[in-house]
Amino acid sequence: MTRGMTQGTGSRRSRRRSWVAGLMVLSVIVAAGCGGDDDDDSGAGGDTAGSAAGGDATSGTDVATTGTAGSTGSTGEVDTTPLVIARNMDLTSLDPHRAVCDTCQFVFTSLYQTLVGLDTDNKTLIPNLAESWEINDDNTVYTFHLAPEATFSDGSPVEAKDVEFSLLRLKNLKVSLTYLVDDIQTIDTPDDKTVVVTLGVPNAEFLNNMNAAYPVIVNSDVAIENGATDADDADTTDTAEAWFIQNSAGSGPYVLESFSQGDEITMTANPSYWRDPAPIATVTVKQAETAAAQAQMLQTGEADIAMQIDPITAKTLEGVDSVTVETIPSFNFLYIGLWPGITSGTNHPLDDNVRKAIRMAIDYQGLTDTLLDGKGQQQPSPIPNGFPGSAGLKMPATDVEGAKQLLEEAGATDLTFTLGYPTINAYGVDYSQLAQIIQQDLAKIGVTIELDPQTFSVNVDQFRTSQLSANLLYWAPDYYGSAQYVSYFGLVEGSRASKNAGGGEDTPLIDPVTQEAYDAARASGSAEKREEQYGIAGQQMLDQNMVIPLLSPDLVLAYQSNIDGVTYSACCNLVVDQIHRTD
Amino acid sequence: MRRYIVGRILLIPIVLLGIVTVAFIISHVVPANPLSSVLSQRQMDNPEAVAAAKAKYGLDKSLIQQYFIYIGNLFRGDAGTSFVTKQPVADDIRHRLPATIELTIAAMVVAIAGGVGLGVLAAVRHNKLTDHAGRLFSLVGSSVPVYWSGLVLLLIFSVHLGWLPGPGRLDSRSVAPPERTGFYTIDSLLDGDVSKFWEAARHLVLPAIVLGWGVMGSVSRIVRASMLDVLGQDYVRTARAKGARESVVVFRHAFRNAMIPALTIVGFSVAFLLTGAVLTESIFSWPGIGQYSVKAAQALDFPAIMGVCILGGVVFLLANFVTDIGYALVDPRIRLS
Repeated sequence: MTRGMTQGTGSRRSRRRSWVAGLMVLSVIVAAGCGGDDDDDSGAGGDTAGSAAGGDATSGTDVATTGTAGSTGSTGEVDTTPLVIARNMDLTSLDPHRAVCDTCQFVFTSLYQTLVGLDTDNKTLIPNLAESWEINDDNTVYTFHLAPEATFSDGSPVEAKDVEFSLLRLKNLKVSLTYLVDDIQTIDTPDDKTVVVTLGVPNAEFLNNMNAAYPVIVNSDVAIENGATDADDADTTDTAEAWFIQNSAGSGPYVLESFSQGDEITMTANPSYWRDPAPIATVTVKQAETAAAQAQMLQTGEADIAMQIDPITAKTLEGVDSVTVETIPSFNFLYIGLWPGITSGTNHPLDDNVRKAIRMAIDYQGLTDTLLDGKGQQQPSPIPNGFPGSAGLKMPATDVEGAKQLLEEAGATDLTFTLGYPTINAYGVDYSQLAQIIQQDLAKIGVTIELDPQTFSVNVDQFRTSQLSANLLYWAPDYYGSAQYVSYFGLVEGSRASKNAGGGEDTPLIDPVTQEAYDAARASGSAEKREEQYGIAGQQMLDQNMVIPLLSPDLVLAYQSNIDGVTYSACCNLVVDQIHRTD
Repeated sequence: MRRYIVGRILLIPIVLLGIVTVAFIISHVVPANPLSSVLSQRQMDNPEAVAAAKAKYGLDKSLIQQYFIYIGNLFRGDAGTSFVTKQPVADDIRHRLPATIELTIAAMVVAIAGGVGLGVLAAVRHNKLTDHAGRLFSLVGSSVPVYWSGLVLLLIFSVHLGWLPGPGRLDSRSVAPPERTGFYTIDSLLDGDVSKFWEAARHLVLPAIVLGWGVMGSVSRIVRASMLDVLGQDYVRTARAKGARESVVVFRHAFRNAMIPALTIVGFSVAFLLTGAVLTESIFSWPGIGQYSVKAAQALDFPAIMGVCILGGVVFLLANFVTDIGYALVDPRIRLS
């Protein structure tokens, strides 16, 4: 391409036009930056309609907030200023019987309801759609009596058939947490308000299962009209997911207004809600990927609640008068898995002494101090602190010299293994940092770790297919109850731990003591007996050192100071309809 | 020229087929299971659930079968359904693309206005303070990570000064205008809501600056170098000798020739931004193609990955094409063949 004097092709007028157009566009941009914005009502507080309603003290959850004076009295007026919740939305579907995610927990329990609720102490089950229930002696037959006044958002009554439909749909779609309903053998509906669930095996935690955010009750008539089915082949014949992504058919305090994937979800007050209306009429969950972005949204008033502030980012909010930050223990934990049955990636099997040595070498307090600025708890076994069976468990002490000795006895002084971990940030902890600290801790006892960072899907897949002799992952509760932990992390039939410990799907390693304790706990109607049996299972898991909890990050509740009712729920993350403004 | 244009257009589907094939192979050989984005960890241990999900998403077929089914559907205009969003990929892209285009246009205005302006100024004031300052400004823009500059600018202008809004396309409590084009600025005006137009435009400022600053550096360097070269040419010397004003020399005689190389960088920058300003979209919670493509890759959402690759292919092909046409228009001595 040669250059030279242009011959003036194209008129001067057309050149001038393009410059003018360009300048106009630039002017628009600059003017927009300087232009006035009257949207000051988008800040916190805004145009409230009056003081918020308190929680209903009959059935359902009460309002009990941590660190505040309690809810204000109800004036019956509803706050019309939208409540904005900032979080990184992991919501992939709004079909309540398909999706599984943290965001799902509070969204589904806002749009729908479960049979059984959870009190604010995060332990006591309370009536919800079921106003009462009976359980037979061997925990195989559960009879639920539905609240007579319970209605769906279209005004139709919540009936037994809806419960049957919902539980069977959850089971037969096979996508979500079917373990919550897999024990169901039959469901009978002797009348419109009675549901009799018969289980194939005793399950004393079935009520707790029914409190999880996934066996929510949908309006079966509406769902069926839009392609839903509870038939055995629902996994191939159900076509309602697309409808559920834009609509809801529940009895919860809110209805789905709109959903924009990766952007926001908006819920508005259910006009037919059969209890006291939610104090705030509109709730918007806004996508904000990072804790820093969420913190900034809080500071500017763009968000009322930020759900994923980690303790280190929370320090940037210190001294900001308009924001309240409180830190409470959570039930989430991060763990290292050490699998004796998997020999790839290690030059020495991770046998009992080796695993114990690794457990003893880790500086757990150091992890919490470095990664979470001390805002975390130590957890001895995979059963979270405060869950049944956790009470008597003692955290093993860090003992570097003792660890070295154990390695010597095991003949593994040159131990080298590969640690696979996902490159994510979970509950405020950066996994790359966590892996490096573990690597440094174990270097003190002569163990060499080769770090293998992976994307989440690769990591989970390799963990699940018993390819990783050591891995880092995390776990969060689905409901308040310990069976979920023993059934996954204990050496019992069907557990992931037993398969990895044994080296594969077909060679599970079962611990008869844990199995017996688990079976006894599930069959026992006595809370004390279950506590005792889960304690045995927990101690076994602790002693086996295959799933070693590294830390349980505290949860940071960060919200505008004029907001009340923000609590942490073991089943639902956040109880949205208890949140209200105080001004 | 007409034959050239027709020929280039006819090539597009063939190139796209190549892109889709390569993307298909690469995404399918990754040692991960896309079902982990569809099923929970627990359900991944349930063989029935895994089998049902594989059947639902066509993953129970051989790779060859999956490939030909996908291509066949593509020819019928069906780009598949995303494993993650459960929506048709074409709808997902159509829904997100306007957000990215709107941001890209704003960023390119910043980049071109700033880059051309700085480049011309730097060339005209060669080796003076203005030249050095301009080059430093451009260098910083190209070097500073977008992730950092975005957060810092948000902190300063949104949090501390309150001059500009925070992340998102609109204020968090605002309702989007009725969707006609997907461009919030245009849709607001079409809806007669001028205040919403200003709101949307204000939300564009920071991300546009962050994105545009990075591109500005490249544009200004190219323009500066090109201008210096052109300003040293004989015809420019002749123009000066004939008594032409300096502004006439620079803008009428030199500028147009100097812009030709800049067209290349602008074209590629537009294509690059359109296919995903991932970090900027992440920081500013901008629901565009960048975020979508990253999430698709992380989840091994095959249909979405293919869809994004097709979009990227189309964008880069068109960008190249338009750039070549642009050359011919700017310099008629260039013959396209």
